Parts: sequence; structure tokens; C-alpha cells
Amino acid sequence: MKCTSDHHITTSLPSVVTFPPPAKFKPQVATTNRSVALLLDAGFGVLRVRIHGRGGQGIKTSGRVLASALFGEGFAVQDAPHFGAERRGAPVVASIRADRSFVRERGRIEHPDAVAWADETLLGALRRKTPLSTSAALRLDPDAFVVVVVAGVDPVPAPVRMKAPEESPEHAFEQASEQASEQASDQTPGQCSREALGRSTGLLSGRGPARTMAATLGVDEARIRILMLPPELHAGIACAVALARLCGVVRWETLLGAIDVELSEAGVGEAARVVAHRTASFAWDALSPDAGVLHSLADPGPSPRRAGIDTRSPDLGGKRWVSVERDDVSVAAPRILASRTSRHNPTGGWGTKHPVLRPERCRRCWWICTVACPDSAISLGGHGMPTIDQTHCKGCMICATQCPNQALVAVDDFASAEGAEGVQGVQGVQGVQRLRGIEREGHV
Amino acid sequence: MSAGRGAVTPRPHLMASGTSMCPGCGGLQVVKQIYEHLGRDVVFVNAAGCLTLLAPYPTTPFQSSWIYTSMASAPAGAQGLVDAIEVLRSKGRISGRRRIHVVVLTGDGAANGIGLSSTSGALDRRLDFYYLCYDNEGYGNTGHQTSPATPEGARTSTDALGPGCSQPKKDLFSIWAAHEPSYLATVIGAEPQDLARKVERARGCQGPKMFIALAPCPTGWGFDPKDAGRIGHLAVSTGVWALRERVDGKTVHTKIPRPRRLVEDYLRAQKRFQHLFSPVRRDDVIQRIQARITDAWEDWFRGQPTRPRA
Amino acid sequence: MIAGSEGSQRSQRSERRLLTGNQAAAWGARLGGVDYVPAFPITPQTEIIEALAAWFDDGSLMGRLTMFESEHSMMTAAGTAAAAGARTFTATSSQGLLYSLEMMYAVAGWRVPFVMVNVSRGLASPITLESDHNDVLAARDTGFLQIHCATAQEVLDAVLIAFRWSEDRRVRLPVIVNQDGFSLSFTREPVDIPNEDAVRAFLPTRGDLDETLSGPSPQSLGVAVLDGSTYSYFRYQMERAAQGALPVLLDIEKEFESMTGRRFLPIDEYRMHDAEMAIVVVGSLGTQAMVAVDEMRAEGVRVGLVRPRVLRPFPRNALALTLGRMRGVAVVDQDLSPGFGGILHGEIAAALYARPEPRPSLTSYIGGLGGRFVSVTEFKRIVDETVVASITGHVPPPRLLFTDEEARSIRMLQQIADDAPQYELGAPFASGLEGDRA
Repeated sequence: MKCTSDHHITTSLPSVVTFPPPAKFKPQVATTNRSVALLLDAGFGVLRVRIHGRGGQGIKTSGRVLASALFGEGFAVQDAPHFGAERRGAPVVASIRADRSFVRERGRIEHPDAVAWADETLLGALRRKTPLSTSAALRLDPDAFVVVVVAGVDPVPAPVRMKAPEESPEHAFEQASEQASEQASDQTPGQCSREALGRSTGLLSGRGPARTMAATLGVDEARIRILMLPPELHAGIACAVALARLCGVVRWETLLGAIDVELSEAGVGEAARVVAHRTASFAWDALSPDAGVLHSLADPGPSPRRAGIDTRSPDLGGKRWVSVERDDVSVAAPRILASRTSRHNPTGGWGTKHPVLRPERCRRCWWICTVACPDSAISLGGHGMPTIDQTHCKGCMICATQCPNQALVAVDDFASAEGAEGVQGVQGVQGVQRLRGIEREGHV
Repeated sequence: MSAGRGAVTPRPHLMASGTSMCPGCGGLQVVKQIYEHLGRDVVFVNAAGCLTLLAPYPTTPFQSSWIYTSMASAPAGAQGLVDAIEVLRSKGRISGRRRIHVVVLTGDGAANGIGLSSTSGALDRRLDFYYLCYDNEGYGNTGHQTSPATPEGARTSTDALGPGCSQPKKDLFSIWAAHEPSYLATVIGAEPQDLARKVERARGCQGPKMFIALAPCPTGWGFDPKDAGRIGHLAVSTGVWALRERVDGKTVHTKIPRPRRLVEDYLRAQKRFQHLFSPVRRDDVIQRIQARITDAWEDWFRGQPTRPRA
Repeated sequence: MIAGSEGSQRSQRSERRLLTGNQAAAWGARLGGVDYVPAFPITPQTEIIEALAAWFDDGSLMGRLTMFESEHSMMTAAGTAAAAGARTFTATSSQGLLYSLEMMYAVAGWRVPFVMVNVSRGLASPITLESDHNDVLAARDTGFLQIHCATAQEVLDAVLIAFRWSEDRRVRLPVIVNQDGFSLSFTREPVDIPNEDAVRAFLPTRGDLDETLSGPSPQSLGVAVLDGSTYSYFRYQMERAAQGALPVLLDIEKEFESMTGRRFLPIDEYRMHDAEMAIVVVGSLGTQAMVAVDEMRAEGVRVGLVRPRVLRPFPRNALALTLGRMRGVAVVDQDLSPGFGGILHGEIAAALYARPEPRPSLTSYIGGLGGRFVSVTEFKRIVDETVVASITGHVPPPRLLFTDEEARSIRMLQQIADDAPQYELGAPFASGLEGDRA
């Protein structure tokens, strides 16, 4: 499957999707040339896609939306969410397969046709080469299609983006807050201007991020789409819609129906449904140039994958079975002998906000924030002021609300680089470097 | 919460970062605090619950021992450990220098239900141990279903529609108190000074030392993690969570909110109670919840020789 | 009764007494120098913990017995105490074993050593007190190793061997020593009690304290794993340790023989050297089967008895070797898996299938459920049927050992239970006792 030669995917497409003027939630009829009639032809491959996100982002529901939409178009589908025992904020993946007949293959999709990421920071978080993350598992086939949703792209400059915080950080903070509230009041999601977005997502504009992602994921840069989603739109739904659009076999009304059904099953209210519809409209339009690039479902040609077996790994994929022999009981039991090994989990990748210290406000009480932090991510530094372990801070921000002097402020991870570095210059917190980790790591 | 230095002193965190608990977990917050007060000579005996995932192979946040048992029998596991250590010590096969604190960790589901029998057994036998119930008022690890500790009116994933949980929260404090443990207290991570003082007092007691910690749960209760501290303070200031201590058969309140805020302030802050306010305000339920809290406090005041001052 | 007049040096150092199976189990724990006994009463096991409690009280034993509020708690404490380095012994039966089953899987996975005596008793429903093996066989997949005893002597011997076996670091799994309720638990037999000093040399105190929770370094035990690969590895380590436990047992058995003069091989073979037919049975029915074998030998039937002492690890190769050369093998299961039949029969069939053809005709009998008596005559009839099967090649379907007399009796009970005069007193079952053979 994948793109056949007759399809007009070219490398000249911009790697950043600049979305068209908002469609104002008007239901649209599918404009794809992949007519449903075509799908009824014999000879389909299996469509395999994954949606990645974090616990709490509604990834499971998003997978269900996509599966329902495909089901609504007459396909046999399989949607399987997979989440570890971790909690909200930890990585979640939904696997969706579709075929004309019952999908028999199961388990993790090793070679997806397309992958959507509901949160681009996950790429950085998962890529860290620790013994606990399988960075190799991030690798995709070169011809896989990738959609990365950058959620909550706020047209309003975040406080940390103010210039020269080291000169007058307090003033800058207040000014930024005022500015933020003014702008927030007269702008609604979906109406943010390109200029505003360009300002707030400077790091992601241009080809740099796509190139870095391409290197990370092992895919062709031309197959990466970065979808910058205004605030309040739903990143998970955007993933589902984007993938549905890429498939080219889901009609707009089917998609909306699937959203309504699945959100209703998930027990969410009318407001969330409206947000989901807005999101769908936004993502549907944004991905319109790519409609139907994944057309395995409509591919009438002979396909070795028609049998429902992923023939790209028919054997052990270069691996071999080994004999598990008896080990000494000191290692053969589920027993941990080392201490404090949880430090190997870089839970700093979970959140999208992190605290930074404004030292001139810190009264050196030396205990409130360090005790309040559930994750032991704040400890006492040399001058009686807290230091924050950004590698592990999950971004709950209890510290910021508990500090009586507001000496800890929340920094949005989508803040611009110069702003973040400005704050970092003030207090020397390394972890803020994590911001825009994707591109930074690309430079390393 | 005053910013005095009291019993809370700065020290390097015993517990490491990087656990898989939710951001803003009230249970983790209280375990971290108690661990730092007890020091590293502890063995945790864990029952199935959210905190089971504190130590998934090969990671642990502790520099102390930990053993996972089952949902029902963590106190029995503690009994076996304490017995074995005492026997081996009496036989001179291990040195007797260090005092090992055996600490049972269970959620409210285990403490109030499936594990109540083994808890009662350990209390009967006057086991010398600590028991921490982190009470997030639901079966949190499985997605927050109604547990015996779920309060009246709260929505959970098994009381997702309609009026929410129909019965009031089980009175675990009184059930435990009836066993007359050596030490019994309620705590909350948002009141670290109170917690520190209680752990210090418990250290001086031989026998069962029981703690019930209200553990505000952003995931299950529906609030922004950053508000975990605020929710905790509201629980105390509205009188929902009475900070108490029971030693030698006498229960005292360690923090009496005066005046008590209306419970409405606490309920409003959480998504699990939103249906009490919109689309239609359920004054009947809110009043019932308020009355139960007011009655409990008035009952306690009446039992005092002199009415405590605010 | 105290004897000890046999000539050998070994028996001079030992003491011969009349003990019930339960007392023999308690003596095994006592001689083993047990540190800790978590306990909960259940018939027909309770005598064991009563005896041990008395010995802790009078100072014969140093250590502690703690009464728990359930077998589930008892099993948890056994596991944690063993994890803390105490030599731990416990005992249960039937419903109690099942109540603790969750923790049996858990503690076996901790890879901690201790010994539990199970006194087999049929499971509810209907609830009963007498023996069959469904209780202990429900635990066959837990990771506990299993020794099955035919005499009170074997119970005592098995407890001592089980401690050595369980604590061996090549094994490090808990062990069940199984004996039958009533027919062993409450039955007195002569038992040779080995000399305490000799046992101490055979079974020194646990040497692994530094590796336990009592040791100098902290450890996290029984932790969760988050993926199938890690889970597979740890579970398969249990399989490797359990399979590897058979050669370890042979090593231990040699030492045990030099101490006591008694063998303790994984399978007990009786008159098998020139046998063409074999009975397979587990537990105390084995001695009854021996009587039948002797009588049939006297009549010229070349029959023998194979009694697996160890069911986990399953001595597959030894069984296949011994039984594979038979013309007929009759398996008498004192257990029943509804919808499958005899559990042991299935396992023996699996062992034999590894052998090349011709394989013996394998017949299946269910006998002794809930302590139902199996007579010598019935064993002989079983062998007769198996001989016919081996000649004709026609293997009869499994049979429940149940006579017309029992059928009449059940009809009487039903008549009373239902107050139903339509049951003709003493009438056999309508379909006839041979109905399932059609």
C-alpha cells in the first residue's frame, strides 16, 4: 500500500501546514476523489495507523472516532488502545486497523502506514535514550506518513516570551499577563491570525522541526505534516480527523457522526462536542491537500498484505529465538536491588507546563514548595532557594499555587526559545532547555 | 498553614522522582512526607492500588525495602515480616541495632473493603507497624469507581450519571478506633506541619499506628493538578476532612476550622460534584451533605468538657 | 510406643514411634528447626498447628506461631516471613488452600523458600471432610513444588527434604507436602523419627539471610512488570527452576538415604522390574494398591505399581520410561476435572505420548473422591479390564468407581431428601451402572 506512483505527493509541499481561513464549522462534503464505490472493488490492503498521545488527552476516544468513521464507511475495523500502568500524562497509543474483511492480525502495529502525534513533546520525551524507553520503536518505515499536532498554539504571547526578563523580570511578567488577558478576550479559537501563530510558534515554523522529526522517525521529510492547533481545540480529535482525511475514504458527514457517537459514549457534554466539531473542521481543511494519500484501502493492485498478515515482518524480522535458561535466583525473581532507580524515568516529558523560579520573589522559606511537590522534583539549593528538577517535574504546578509569594511561575512549554532562555538566564534551570527539545536535540 | 519551621525541616528527599503517579497525586505527596519523617529504615508492604506502580520493575523511588502483596492482605504481610525479624533477632541471627518500621500502604478500597479483615487481624494482634491508607475516595487505579470511601453525591465511573454516590462515606476512623490502636490519626498532604507532628508522636508508640490520609486526586475528582493543595485546604476548612488524632482512647481534633466554610466551596471546585450545581442546583443534596458535616462537628463539640475555642 | 531396637547404627540414633500423619508433619517441622509458623485452623489439618503451638509454648521449639484471620493472610505472612529469612512452615487443607490460592501464585513468584503441608480434603460443593486431591491439584500451576505421601513416615521425611529442596538456590520455590485427610492425617503408623543432630547436619539453618529483607541492603520484591517480555522471562525462570529441581532432588535424596536408609525418589515403583501391567496412583491409596499387586502377583499377573511422589516438577521422563514398556497402564485418579476427567490420567497420557509406538493401553478410573473407599478387589478388577484393553486394543471410556450397592444407597438418600415415594427403594439407576460403557 502506501502511496502509489500515480498519486500526486510531491516533496514540494510545505512541511508546515498553513491552514486555510477557518471554515466556520460548516459541514463539508468530502471532496476526495476516492469514491466509496472504488472501495468496493476487490483487493484491499490493510490500513494500519497509530495515534500517539498522553493519558488524559482522549487518545482512546480519538482512536475510536477514527475506527467508527471507517466502520461507518463499511470497513471492518479494529481499534485497540494501549496504555501502560502509568497515569495521566504518560504516553498512550491507539492502534487502528481497517480492512474489507474481519481484521485478524493483532497487537502492536510495527509498520504503520501513518502515525499521528497529539503532542509533539512526546517525540522528545520518548526519544531520550534511557534503558527504559525504546527509542528504536519510534522508527517508522521511510514511506510512512506523519502528522504532528502542536496543540494549544496560543496567539497570545506567553509571559516568558517577554524580552529582557533579566532586566526587569517582575515588570515583564505583569506586562505580559496584561497583554495576555487583553488578547485572550478578543480572540476566539480558530480565529487566530497567521501572524499571531507565526509569532508564537516561531520554533516550529520553517523546515527545521520537520527535518529533525524526519531524522528521528526515519521517514521522508516530505511526509511530515505539522498541524498547529489553536487553543481549546482537541489534539486527539485532530489526530483522528487528520488520519481520516489522509485515508481519503471517510466522508465528512460520516466523520461527524462518528465523533458524535463516540463522544456520547464517552459521556462528554455538548460543549466538548462543539469543540470536537470545530477541531474536525479545522483539521479536515488543513489536511485537504493530502486527502487520500493513504489509499491502501482502495488499492486494487495485487498486495502481499491482502491476507491480513504484515508481510514486512513475516519472520522474526531479523531477530531470532533464544533459549531462556535458568539464571541464578538473585536475578531470576522480580526483585529490585538498587535504590532510587525511578530517576531513570524522565517524567519531565509528561507535562506541557513547568515551573521556573523568580528568585527575587523567593523568601527562602525553604520548605513550602519542596514539601508540596509530590514528585520530589523540588529540592533546596545552595542559597536556600529551591532548584527544580525539570527532567522529572510532571508540571502539576502545585508549587506555583502553594508559594505564598508567587516566586514560582508556570512556563508554557510552547514558549519561544528566547523567552525561555531569558528566564533560564535568570535562575539557571537547565530543564527549561527541554522546551522545544525536538529541535534542540536535532542540533546536538 | 503557617510558614513556621515546626517539625518540618529541610532535608534531601529520600524518595526519588520519576514515579508513574499522576501529576499532582495527593497519595504520593503524603507517602513522600511520611517516608521522609520515618527515615530509610522502613519496609513498605504494599496492597494493590495506585501506589503499586510506585515500583514497577526495574524502577523504585525508594532507598528502602518494598514488597508487593495483594489487595486483601498487606497487613498480614507486615505481620509475617515483623514476626520473622523479631524471631531472627531473638535467635541472634540478625543484629538488633536498627529499628525497622514496617509500613503498610493501601488505598481506601483495600482499607475499607477487601483488606478490612486482615487489618482487623493485625490490630487484634497489636502488630507493631504503621498503616497508611491514602484515601482518594474511589478505586483510583482502575479508573475511579465507587468505593466504600466515596462520599455522598460524588460521581465516579460507576456512578457516572444521576445523583452520584448514594451512600455517605464509610467511617473507617471509627472502625479502626473500635480496635483501639496505639495511635490513630487523619492527615492530609496539604497540612505538612500537622502531619509531621503526628508521625513524630506515632514514633513513640508501640503497636499499631494507623493513618488515614485524604488524598486529593486530580484524575478521579476532576480538578487541575495545580489546585491539589487548595482542594486539600478546602477539605480541612470546610470540615469535610477533620484532622484528628486518637491516643489512649481519646480523640482530639488537631485543627478546628473556625469558622467552617460552607461545604459548597469544596464541592464546587471538583468536577465530580458539578452535577450538584448545574444544570439544576441540587440544594437538597448539598444541604444533606452540609448537615452531615455540621452534625458531626456539633456532636464532637457536645462531647467535650469545655467547648473548644476557635 | 517407642522402639528403636533395629541393629543398624542409623536406627540406633533414631526413635520409632506411632504417629498420625499430622503428628509426623509437625515432627518434620520441629526437626527442621522451623522459625515461624503462620497458622489458621481447618479440618483435617488442625492437629499440626496445635502440636507446633504446644512445642513453641513449652520451649521444645524456638520461634513463633501466629494465628491469622484467614488462609489468605496466613499465606501472605508465610511469604513475607520467608522473604525475611525465617525458616517458615505452614499447613492447610481444601477450602483453605483455595482461599489462599491468589497468594500461592504471588509468593511462588517471589521465589522464597518455605514448606506447606496440605492435608487433602474434597472441595465444596457439596462440602465434605474426607480426602481427595482436587485441592492440591488446583495449586499445580502456582509454582509450588508438590510432594505426595503414602505413609506417615513419608510425611515426616518429605517435610525435611522439602526444606532442603525449597532452600536450594537452584530451586528457591515453596514446596507443598501433601497427605490424605483421615487415611493419613488421623491414622497412626510407626514412624522413624531421625536424630536431631543428624537432621541438623542434613538441614543447616538458612544461609541466605544477607539476600533477604533482613539483610543489610534494601530490596523491592514482587514488583509489577509492565510488559509481556519481562513477565515471560520471570515466569519462565520459575519453569526452569522447577524443571531443574528434579536432579537437585536426586542429590538431596542421596544424602537423605545415607542419614536414614530410606530412599525418596520422584517416583516409587513397586514390583515393576518384570511387570507388563501397571497401576498409577498418588498418595495413600498407593499402599492399598500394593496389596492388590501382591495378590495378583500370587495369581500370576505380572503387574506393578507406579506412584509418583513428586507431581511438580512432573517426572515426565522417568514415568515415560517406566510406563512406556508396559502393555497396559491403569490410572486411578482421586480427583476429577469436570469436562475432562482424571487430571493425572491426562498428565500420564502426555508423558507417554513422547514415547514411540507401541504405547501401552491407558485406562482411566476415578476413585476415592471425598474419601470414598477403594477396595483391593476393585484394584484387581481395574487391572483385569486394562489387561483386556491391552489385548483387544479397545480402551474403555473412563469409569467412576461406584457400585450397585452405592447406587441403592443414593436412591434411599434421595427418597428421604425429596420425600419422594416414587423412587423405588433400592432400585438401581434406570440407565444401569454400565450405561456409560455402551
